[in-house]
Parts: sequence; C-alpha cells; structure tokens
Amino acid sequence: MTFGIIKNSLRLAILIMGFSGLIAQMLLLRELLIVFSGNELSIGIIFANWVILEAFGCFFFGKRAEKSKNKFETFIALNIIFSISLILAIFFTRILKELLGFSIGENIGFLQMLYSSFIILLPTSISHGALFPLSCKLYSDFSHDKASSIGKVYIYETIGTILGGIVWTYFLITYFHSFQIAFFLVILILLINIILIIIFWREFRLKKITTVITLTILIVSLYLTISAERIHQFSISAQWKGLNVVHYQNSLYGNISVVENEGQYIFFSDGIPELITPIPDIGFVEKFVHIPLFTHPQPQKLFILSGGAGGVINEILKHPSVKEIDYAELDPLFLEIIKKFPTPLTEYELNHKNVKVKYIDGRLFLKMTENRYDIILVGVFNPSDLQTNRLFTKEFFALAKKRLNNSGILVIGLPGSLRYFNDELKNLNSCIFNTLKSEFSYIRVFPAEGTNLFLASDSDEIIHFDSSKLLIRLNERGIHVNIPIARHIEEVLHPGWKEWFTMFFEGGTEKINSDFTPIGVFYSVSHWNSVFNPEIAKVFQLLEKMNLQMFIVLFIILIFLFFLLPIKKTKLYRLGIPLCIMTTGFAGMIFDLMLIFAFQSIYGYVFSWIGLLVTFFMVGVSFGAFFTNSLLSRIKNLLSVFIKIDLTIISFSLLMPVLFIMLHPHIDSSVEFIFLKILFLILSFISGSLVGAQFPIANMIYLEKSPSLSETAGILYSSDLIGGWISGVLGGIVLLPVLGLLNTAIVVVLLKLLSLIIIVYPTIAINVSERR
Amino acid sequence: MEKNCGDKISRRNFLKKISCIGLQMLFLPIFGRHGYGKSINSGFTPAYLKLHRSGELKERAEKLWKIMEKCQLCPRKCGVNRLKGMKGVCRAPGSKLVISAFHPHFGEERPLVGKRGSGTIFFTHCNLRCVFCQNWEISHIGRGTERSINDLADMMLFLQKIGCHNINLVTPTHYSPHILKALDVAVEKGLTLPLVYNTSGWERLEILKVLDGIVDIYLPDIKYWESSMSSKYSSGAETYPEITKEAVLEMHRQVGTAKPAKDGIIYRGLIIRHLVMPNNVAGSEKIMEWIAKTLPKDTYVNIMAQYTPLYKAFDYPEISRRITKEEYVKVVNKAKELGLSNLDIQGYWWLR
Repeated sequence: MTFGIIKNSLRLAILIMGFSGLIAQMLLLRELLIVFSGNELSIGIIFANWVILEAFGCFFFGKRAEKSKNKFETFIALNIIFSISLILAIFFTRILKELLGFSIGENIGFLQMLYSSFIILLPTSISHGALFPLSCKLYSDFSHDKASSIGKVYIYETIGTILGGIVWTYFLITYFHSFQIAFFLVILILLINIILIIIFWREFRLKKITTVITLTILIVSLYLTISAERIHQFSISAQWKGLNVVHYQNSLYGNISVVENEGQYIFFSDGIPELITPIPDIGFVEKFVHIPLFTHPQPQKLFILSGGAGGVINEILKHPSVKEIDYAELDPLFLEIIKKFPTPLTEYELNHKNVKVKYIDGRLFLKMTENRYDIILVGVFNPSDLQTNRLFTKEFFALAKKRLNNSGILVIGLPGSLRYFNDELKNLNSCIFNTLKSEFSYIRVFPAEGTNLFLASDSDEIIHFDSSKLLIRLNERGIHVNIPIARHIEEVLHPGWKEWFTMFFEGGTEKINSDFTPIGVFYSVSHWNSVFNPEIAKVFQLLEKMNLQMFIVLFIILIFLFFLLPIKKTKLYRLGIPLCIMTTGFAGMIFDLMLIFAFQSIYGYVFSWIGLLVTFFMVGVSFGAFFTNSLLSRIKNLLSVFIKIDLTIISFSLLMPVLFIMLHPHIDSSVEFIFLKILFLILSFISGSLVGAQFPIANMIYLEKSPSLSETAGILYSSDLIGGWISGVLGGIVLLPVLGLLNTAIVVVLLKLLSLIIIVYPTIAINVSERR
Repeated sequence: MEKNCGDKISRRNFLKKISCIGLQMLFLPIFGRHGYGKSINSGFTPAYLKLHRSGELKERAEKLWKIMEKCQLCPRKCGVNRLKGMKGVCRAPGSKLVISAFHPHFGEERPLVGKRGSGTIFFTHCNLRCVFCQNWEISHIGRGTERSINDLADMMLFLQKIGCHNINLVTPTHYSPHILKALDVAVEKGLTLPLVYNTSGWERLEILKVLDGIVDIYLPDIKYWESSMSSKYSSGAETYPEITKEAVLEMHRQVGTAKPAKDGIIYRGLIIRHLVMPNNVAGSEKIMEWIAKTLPKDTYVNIMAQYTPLYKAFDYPEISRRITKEEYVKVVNKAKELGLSNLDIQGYWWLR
C-alpha cells in the first residue's frame, strides 16, 4: 500500500475527529441549553466543563493510550465510546429534569447545572480529548518528519472544526434533529474506522474482534439511523412524561414544543410554558390590556411585542378606538406554530383586519419601523435570560420611548409576589424600575401575585388613573360590560398599592439594566436560585455587591504586596509564566462569552450562531499557535515577544467592548446588522489568535528553565485550562451580568497587568543590577 | 435586641428584623399620609379579648403547643415530635416558626380589604401539599425567615397600627400553637383586630374547638368533593372531603354567617372559597349543592376562576390546562339556581 493512502486515511480520520468534536459540543450545548430553560449564562458552565474534561482525557487517557501496544484498537475503541456516549448524552439530557427531580416547566438551578452538565459531558468529552494525543502518535509513527507531526495533526483537526462549524450552522441545525445529526456523525466515524481497519490491517493485533465490534456497531447504527425519528419521539415522550407533544422544533432562537390537551394547546419555549390557547389567563390578560387602554385617553395605534395571540389581541379589539395593532414575537417561528395549531380565538386575532403580524424579531422591528404608537405592550414578564432581557434594558426603553407618541404608554411586567419577598425579587423590580425611570417621567406599578405590572409614560395620566376615571371612560367609549368593574381590575386599582410598592422597594438596588450590563438577568436568575438553592443564595447576594472598585483596590493591594514583601522577585519569575498563561486562559474564555453575550443582546438568536462564533474562536487559537510556532526559531528575544502579545491582549480586551458600545446605537438597518455580524466573526477569530499565539512562546521560555518537555507542557496547559474554567463559571454567571461588558474587560486587564508585572519586574530588576 | 436598631436603620432591615419594634414607626409615615393608623374598628370587640383576660388564651396556647410533642394538629396526625425538631408531612421545621411575608393586602375579598387592606401574614409549609400549588415556593419548599413568637406578635400589632382591618393568617394550621401564643402577647399590647383563619379547610374538629372564641372570621377552602381526587392531587389526603365538610360546619357554628358591618367590612363570620378546576376535578356543583343544603343560603361563597397549571400540575394531563369560561359559568349558574345569594364572583371575561 502506498504511503500516500496511509497518510491520507489518517488525515481523514483526524479531520473527522475535529469535525465530530465541534458537532458533538454544539449538539450537547444546544440540548443542555433547552433543558436549562435557554439561560445563556449557563453557556460558560457548559464550555468550562467541556474544556476541562477534554483536557483530562487528553492528559490521563491520551498519554496512556499513546504508550499502548494496541494503538489502533485503542483509537477505534475511543471512537466507539465517543459515539455511543454522544447518543446517550442526548438522551439523558432530555430526561435530565426527571432525573434531577424537577417537573416539566420548572427551572434548574446553577448548582445542578454545574454538576449535571459535568456528568453528562464526561464520557463524550474525555474520549474525544484522549483521541488527540493518540492521533499525534499514530501520525508521527507513519510520518517521515516526526517533529512537525503534532502541528500537522493540529491543522487537520482545525480544518475539521471549521467544516463542522459551517456544516452545523448552515445545514444541520436547520434540517435535522439532534438524534439524526448524532447518528450521521456516528456512521461517519465508524466508516472511517472501517477504512482504517482495512488500510492498517497488519498493524492490528486484535484483528477479528475489532472488526466484528466495529461492523456490528455500524450495522446497529445504520439501523438506528433509519429509526432515529422513533428514538427522537421516544425521548420526547420520556421527557414530557406522556403528555401529548404535537410539535417539537428547534428554531434559530430556541426550542418550541407544543402540548395538546383536550383542545387546549400549551406552547413551551425551552421547556417553560409560555402560552396556553385558546383559554387565556383571563384575569391577568384583562389587567394587562384594559388598565393601560383605559388609562390612555384615546388609544389608536398599538404595538405588541410578544404574547399578543391567545387573548391579548382579542381584549384590545374590544376597545372601539383601536385602529391598528402591530404584533411581533421575539421568535417569529412562534407565530407560525401558533398558526399551525389554530383555535377560533387565535385565528380571529391573527386574521383581524386591524392586526398586522410582523414576522421579525420584535425589538428589531421596533428599531427599524418609523411608526409611532399610543401604547406598546411587552408580553414577556421576566428577563430570565439574555434573549428576553433585551426587552428590559435602558437601550430598549429609550427605543420604545422614541416610538411612542407624546402621551404614549409603555407596559411591561415583572415577577412579583405577595406571599414571598426576598432581596432578589426586590432588586429585580427596583433595578428595572430605575431603568424605566431613567427614560420616562412617570411610572406606575400595579403589584400583583405572579406579575407586577409597570406603566411608564411621559404623561402623568398613568399616576392619577383610578376606579372613578375608569367608570367615566367606560361610559364615554360605550363599551359593554358584564359587571361595572370586575373585581380583579378594581383590586389592582386599589390606592393602597401605591404605598405598598414604596414599602416594598425600600432598600432595593439602584443599578440600571443595560444591553451590555445585563444585571436584570442576574437578579432574575438569583431570585430563582434563592428559591431552589438557598444554601448558595448568600453567595449570590455577596456577588451582587461586587463592583469594579473592589477589583481595583484588590489589584493595588496585590501590587503593593508584591513590591513590599521581602521575597526574591526573581523567584517569582518561574511562577509568572504559568500565571500569565492562566490569565490568558481566563481572558480567552471571557472574550468568547463576551462575544456570545453581546451577540445575543443585539440579535437574540445566538442559539443558531454559537457554532460559528465558537468555530472562529477555535480556528483563531490554532492560527495564532501556528503563526508563532513557525516564527519561533527566528525570534531572538522570546520574552519581549511574549510581553508584546500580552500587551496586545490587554489592549484588545479594552477595545472590544468599546467597539460594541460605540457601534450598538448606530445599527438601524439590516445592512449594518450584517456588517456587525461579520465583525463578530472577525473579533472571535482575533480573540482566539491572541490566546493561541502566546502559548508556544510561553512553552519555549519555560523550557529554558525547566528540563522536562512534558512537565512544561503539562503545567502550562493546566494553567490555561484552570484560567478558562474559572472564567467560564464565574464570567458567565457573575462578571459579565453584574459588572457588564466594559468593566469585565477592565477586570481582565487588571488580572493581565498583575501577571505581567510579575514577569516584567524581575527582568528589569536584573537589567538594572547588571548595569550597576 | 434594641441594639440592633442602631444607626443602620433602614426600612429594608425592618422586613428582615421585625423584632426591632421601633422600626415599625418608619412605615407609619408612608401609610399615615392617608390618615391610616387611627383605630378604625370602633364598635367591634374581638372574641379573644375575654379569653385573654381570663387567662384561658394562654392555657389554650399551651394545650396546642403540647400537641406538637406528638403532632396531631392536622388530620394527617403524623405524630412526630416537633418539639424535638422533627418534621412531619407539612415539613415545618419542628417547633420553629417560619414566615414568608406580612403586609397589607389589597387583593383579598372586598369586605376584608376595605380601604386599608387585610393584614396578611403568610406562613411557610403546608400539610395538604397539592400538586398544583400556586405558592409552592413557600408551601412546599418552605422559603421564608425564621421568627420568634414575639416577632409574630409585633407583626400583628404593626399591621393594626398601619390601619389594616384584620389579621389574615394564611396557611395557619400547623402553626396554630405559635399563633395563639403570639396572640396572647399581642392582645396584652393592645391588639383588637379580628383574626382571619385562612385555611385549606382540612381541619380537625378537636383543634377547631380550641380556636372557638378566638377566631372571628373563618376563611376555609372547599377544594374537592371526592376523596379519590383529594387523594390524587393532595398527597393522599383522602379524608379531605369528609373532614372539611365537618370542619366548615363547626366553623359556621362558631362564627355564623359573614355579614358586612355598616362600613362594608366583615368582622365576623364564615367565608368559603372554592376554586373551579378543569374536568370537574373539584366536583364544584356537588360542593355548591352541599353548601346550599347544609348552610344558610346567604353564606358568603367566593367562586374562583384563576386555576392555571403550575408547579407539578403538568405531571397530570387532566389538570394541565386552564378552565374554560363555560366551566366557570356553569358552576356560578348552578350556585345561583340553588339559591345561594351571597356569591363573590370574579367578573372575569369582563368586557363584552
């Protein structure tokens, strides 16, 4: 057999390894996100766990596999473990709520997210991680130039990753469900395994058994692929515990499932019930619609952002003055699915001549339209994730104000309770209250069990509205009623609530929620968390108090300690390199999350773009590593290059958020939207490259002082991972939401400066003493 | 304790530490603006005053407290020693008192809210444990803050001070000893508001007899007609219909029919709540028939329509939907047909 075929088959196997790594990561990320109620803050946790497990596989199992006598058998065995565990992981993710003892419709806490995603990812990530060093070994065994083989493997894996990202984003997620994708992947992997068995037949020691097992699994997989639909359905019915799931679809924004029950349809978005048709939550809908519509002197033109169908529009249409209703959802697919399961109520609402349904993300529509409205109703009542938080930020309120007429009213709702108060709930309400207050002159709150209603306007009409005004308007407008004032309407108009809310608010936060400081999500999530995990609620309360000043003070103290303490600074030099790599790992993950979060805050559909963002980042890492690796021999002063890269990372981490903040207000057309999207990819690539570029140099510098190559790589690699893991967990849940994009970037800068000083200072000190 | 009320006083701390009685005054300006704070229930004398003066209130409190040694406060009669910190079906942490919120509530029945609100105190944990619970955070998971008997007494007094019309005790059953003890303290300090016993209705006669002459307003639910249903949706409480019927009769015997006074406020009497459920799970019409047959026709009955699938309700397809307008109207019409004349109907589907 020619050398070319041998090498090509290995290359293909490595390429598929990269390809399947990305697809598996995306598959599991998406499935986990659905179970985690679409909460993007959990992305950091999932990434952190994936990366650390992969590294674990690489180090412990990969190194062992490298020394194994049956390398090919091990390679194939790892591929098989990877394949089977991927299928099982999807299945277990779907029934995760049941396994953890949660009911359908309940949210999962952060602690549970942390350990459950760890366990679910464990076999898949570890086996995938172990494949890398083994592939390197196999490749170098069949390569003339053994030294460059690691690099080559890296290249092929990266090409695989790029292919994976593109195929995932533009092909797989649009047309197939997770089990179909997973089975395609498994078959692809097994086919390449068969090819390897044929080509390297002589290398195998356990010829028969390997062949038999691989073939059997391939046949079983082929069979299962045909029935992937059935497995998919089975997992769904296990997930939904026998409820009649009539629709299950992943849109660009998330998962939409519909359950039918005696003629009523319950629409779930990422496992959380959003809408029940055709019976509205009538008590709430009547408050939500009629209080603002009677408050406004003459409502004619309305915009509903989410939650219009299924009762709200029907109630609005009972007001004779209303001439035009524009209606959009956050996820346009939601509307199509409502249409797919028609009820007389929703049909009437969506086909009414005065109703214009916009199949576009609601916030984007508001941004692009030139219409002016009398009332804007926002039908999402909790900034529970970044996607929904887009409707509770200062930027959004400013936009809404721009689109409102002079006496126009913005109506929003927030979680409220009359039975259970905690600081989290209070902070959530008061933070959004402050945010509204920063844009509108008057705000009136109607507290209620479940949802507090907020009316914001520049007209004081909303403040003075009461039962007697309501009766007058009812009369004026000639609307027929069943009883003069329904109890639930009278109830919320009770004057006692005004003082009640003042009392409730006392001592609440003064922070403001914005697109790039999504503190609202943090409060919403920590409220939920305090209910389920009160034991860590205290931690969250402390984290909430965190601010940039604290980091600055800490930074200054550490610097002082460094200079004042009588330690030999030159000794710290050895510690400096791994520390620097750790902060770079930290920065890398923060960049990645920053891009994902910023994308979500601007567009709302990171669910479909995360594959590309991650791919570009990973490609960037490989590119950076390669670039410096190839220059290594030509670099004279390694340390100086290392420091320059560090400084570039520092400048970049400041530049990126500033860029977002500057560009954000100016996107008003779809062209600019696309331009910004491309910018996101470029920034992903650059962040990756910077992180990747530093590693080979650090390796070289550290090697000068350390005799062992594997020890060096081990120390540096684990520093990188620890940094990444910490920032995945902390950055995602705390830093970015609490401090915001810019201040988180400054924290990164401080950390980087600290590690840089530890490296630079001894050098300068040595130079100075030499000169003397 | 007073030391806690030092310089760092904020209203926020108050919610955490009601024990600082001085802080209560901070609220008064807020509610005082509208002339709250005056004694408003002139003419009404709560039943418990007499028992307090004779010292019997204290004795009854002790009597209930002792029951916790082998707890039989509710029909579950699980017999755990709560005094030694054991948890029964209700999951209340031994004899500790945990409260999730207290404040003037303006969303209860109109004659309880009046102008200045019903002074609600929400107790955590629950002995009935329904799968569709709408306050599962407090009733099932038990989120709240541990309080002392004196704290509870202070809460009652505070609610009186800001002008509430009554003390509305929500889910009181498993904390009845604490309530009586606190009441004794509060009465000594001037409490005169009627107590509202806001319960699931599943109460033991023996316990209700102890409350005779203490509670002025009973606000029980009648949730189910059939024991198979109560058993299925309320954690095996198959005795619910039978015991609740007896309990409601006893409550009526004690306080009679709820009639508003001249000021429109109810100071004494029985108010029944009933939640209409999907697929007639509650047996609403049967319940209305029973009320009409057994109690006076002018018994105050609040027929509620707000059922929505919550908590674990999605695990039960037959109750994982809302009720239809027709389902609700049918129950209301039935009640009217039966001659029930004091119906509190919510007026949903308001505009035509």
